[in-house]
Amino acid sequence: MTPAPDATGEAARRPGAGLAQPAALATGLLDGLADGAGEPKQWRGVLIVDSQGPWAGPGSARLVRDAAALAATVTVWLWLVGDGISSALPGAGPADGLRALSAGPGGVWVDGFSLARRGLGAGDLVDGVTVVEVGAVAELLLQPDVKAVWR
Amino acid sequence: MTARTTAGTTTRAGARAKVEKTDILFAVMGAPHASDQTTTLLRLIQATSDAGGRVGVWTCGYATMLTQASLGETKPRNVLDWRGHYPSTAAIIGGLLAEHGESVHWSACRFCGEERGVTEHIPAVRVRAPFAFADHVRAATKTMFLGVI
Repeated sequence: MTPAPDATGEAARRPGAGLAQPAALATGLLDGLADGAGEPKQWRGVLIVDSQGPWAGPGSARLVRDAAALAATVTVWLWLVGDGISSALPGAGPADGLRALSAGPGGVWVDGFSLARRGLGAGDLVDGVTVVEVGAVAELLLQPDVKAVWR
Repeated sequence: MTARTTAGTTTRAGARAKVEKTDILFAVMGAPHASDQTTTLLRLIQATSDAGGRVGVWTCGYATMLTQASLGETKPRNVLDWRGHYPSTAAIIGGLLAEHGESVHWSACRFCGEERGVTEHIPAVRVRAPFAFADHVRAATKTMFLGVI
């Protein structure tokens, strides 16, 4: 899907607009957002889940930056759960991507349960992220116009 | 050829099995011993069900072992906590399905299970042919894959 031309320049002001647009994400995920599996569907947003974190490899940082780039087009919630919460520790995750996502209408959500199990709290995290319980994620999952992607 | 009007799948006996409509299908591919994915999965199932959602679970690969009957009710004893009681995943999931049976449906891939020696599951789990997965996806408003095989 090719985003419609933006005469007002709004797209340039959205979170992640300054980040490089990953070609695979733009052509793959956005096509999926537009077409779904079967009938055409309008997706209002995407819940992206990272359960692995930066110590599992470079994929985590790429995921955060891809999510930030995607946030220039649709609302993106990034839910960090399990070992994925470590992306929100100072110096661990890509600061530019996290900052861009946190400024958007979705945001960066950190799982409170996973945080507590690792002896961490909200004060240990970078600014701008939000600690949430699983009920908030469940509410989002049940919204039919929000796509969910797990890593 | 008969037109298909509802989501369904064919059992070994040839009868058409019903696949319930769900708001979300969790397709669990990752191995349960590799991370705390299983804990997150169970929390999500409980939370989405408590929020009024209809939930489907389909396990593939090593995730089929979560509900094998031979796990029994408890894990092996902990030598550092001899009197401790640690329920097996089969017992936890059995309890979850007993409590949320109206809104949560758990299916396991027969091919993946049998390849790993899972020949019998707890009674609340339905064993399905791999090809039936498409019916479960079709019956769900959305599907989220957890992990990779």
